[in-house]
Amino acid sequence: MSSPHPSSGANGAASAPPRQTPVTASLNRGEIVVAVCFFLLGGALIAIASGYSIGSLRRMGPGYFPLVLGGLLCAVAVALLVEVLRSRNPAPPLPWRPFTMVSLGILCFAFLIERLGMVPAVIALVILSALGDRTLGPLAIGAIALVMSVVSVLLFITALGIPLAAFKG
Amino acid sequence: MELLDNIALGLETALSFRTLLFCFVGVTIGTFVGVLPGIGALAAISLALPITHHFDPTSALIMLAGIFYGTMYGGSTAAILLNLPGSITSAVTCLDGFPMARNGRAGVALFLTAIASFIGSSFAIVVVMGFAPVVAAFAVQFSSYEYFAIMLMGLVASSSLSSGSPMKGIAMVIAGVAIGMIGTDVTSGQYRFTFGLSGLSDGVNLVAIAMGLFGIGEILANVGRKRDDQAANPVTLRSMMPERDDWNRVWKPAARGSVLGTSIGVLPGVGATLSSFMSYIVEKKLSREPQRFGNGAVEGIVAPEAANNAATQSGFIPTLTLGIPGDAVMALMLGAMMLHGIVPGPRFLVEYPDMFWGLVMSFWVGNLLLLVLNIPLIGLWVRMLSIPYHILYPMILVFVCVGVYSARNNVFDIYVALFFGLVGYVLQAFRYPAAPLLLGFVLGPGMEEYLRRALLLSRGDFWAFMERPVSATLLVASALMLLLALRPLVKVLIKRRRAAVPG
Repeated sequence: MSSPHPSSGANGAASAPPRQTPVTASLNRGEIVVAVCFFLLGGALIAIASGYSIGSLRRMGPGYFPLVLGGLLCAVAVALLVEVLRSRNPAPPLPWRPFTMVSLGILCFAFLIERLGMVPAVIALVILSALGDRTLGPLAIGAIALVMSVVSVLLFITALGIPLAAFKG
Repeated sequence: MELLDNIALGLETALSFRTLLFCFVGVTIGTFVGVLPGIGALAAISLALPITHHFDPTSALIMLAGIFYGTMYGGSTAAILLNLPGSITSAVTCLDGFPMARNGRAGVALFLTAIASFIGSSFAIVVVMGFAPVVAAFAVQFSSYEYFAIMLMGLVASSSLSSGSPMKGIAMVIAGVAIGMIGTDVTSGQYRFTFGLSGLSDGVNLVAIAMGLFGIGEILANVGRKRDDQAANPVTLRSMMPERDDWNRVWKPAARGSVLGTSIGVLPGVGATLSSFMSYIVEKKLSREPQRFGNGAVEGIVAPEAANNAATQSGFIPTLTLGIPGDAVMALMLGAMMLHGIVPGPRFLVEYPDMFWGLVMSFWVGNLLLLVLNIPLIGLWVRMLSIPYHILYPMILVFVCVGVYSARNNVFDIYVALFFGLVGYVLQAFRYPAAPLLLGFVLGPGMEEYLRRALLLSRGDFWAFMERPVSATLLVASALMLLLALRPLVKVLIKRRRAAVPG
């Protein structure tokens, strides 16, 4: 949404987009990589779909629609590249610490939930993911882990009856 | 008379103790989520989806809907007090809401947005009650051609009218449709794009994809980001009373916002966010003193808040009568119904009148509850704003993970959610909107199905789409929207050519 009026005074998320200075087009490597990924996705769609039976326009096989879609996606990706080559968006930050810790927490949860049960999985998730942000002390993390274990056992196992054990030996 | 019977039927459902309870829980969660910046309606509804899976469908739908329109009320609170939109739909409210707060009129702003929200919702609910049966009756004659055309228009609109680059929206919509094809092909029974993984043979789980994109993705975007912790000043009930001058300025913008929001909400593919932006622009254009906008004009908060609430309510018309969701939140709603084995469409009103009218009447109940939650109890929510995010996000993650697992009792879905969380974060960081992806995912399979059926009927002739007035109109409209969206790209190309010539 771009309003023709410069919004005065406020600096909220909705304020007018920054004016692009059309002096030099800087290459934004991240943007290009993403656009190329979309192109590759389109290519993969075409490659895989051509292994399915295509059929005719009248009687489409399972490969027809994905084939068309893959072609469209490739075309859009090319257009994106054109657009992106002129954009001057700054590269977004990649917050490594939260990224790794949250992902690790989720992976551990997935690994533990059927092996050791709900409570160990929840505790592992809370501790690992909370370490993604340095503000919380061990006591606070422990408290959140405890509260969430109780809440999830009561809500999901007792109230909703999910076939899972709180602890599994 | 039939309407009165239906209202009675709806009230019977909506006023039962069980439904009242779910409605109350829904709107309370909605307000809570709406107030907190960093989680929005999409995250909240995807979180609630696996839980409501265990309820009866009517209660589930009423609660999910309550969460949805509840966030519309709550969203303005953080926008006014902290200049942070609690949800995207209230981003515009920052523009005049925060200046009002700085002028010491935060209470008035909160009061007026609650009233405006109620006006917008009420108008739209009346429209839903009047028009949904009409649309449904009309849509009974629709065949594969019309459904394909409506779905296509929904996807085109959602991608090209979203904020930012329309090309990015279109890429996301196509990716969404592609992800929707994973699993068993309905027509031939063949597995497609499953990569030999048994977890994908039934397709990607809606809960996993939504939780990944909007739960995990949003957490990744917010954790570790430095916030300047502004404390919101407490709001007293007495400070909320508007002056006479305010009352005079409120009615017309609220009425215009309601009408505009309701009409935009009905369109497939465009949701509440667009309606609030549009109504802000309209108010500013119509105003005799446009310089007041941005400096605390009440019109600038009243109209968008009326509009986004109206759009939210009227968005139920296409979702319930055609089975075509207007935006990503509605797509989740539709997904929730399908998880319960109910397929929304023109026959929904006839087959499940108690559910439809119960839901609509629960809107009244929910909006009345929200008025209470957001005016006398506003102090409670203001205090909520001081909960730091680093305490909140590990808790949300637990709900995300347990929720995803419980939807199909399947560990594989947790990995899927993580994948979409990571990819979603990166894409959103590069300003690829996530909502079109979800909409494409939900609408894609039906679209392919209808296209195949339509072409089978027409013996492979594409002109059949143009020979039917409804589908022809919709297809032309979609083409126009696409052209409009592609205009900037064409401009870039022209500019490049012109850049060679000085002057």
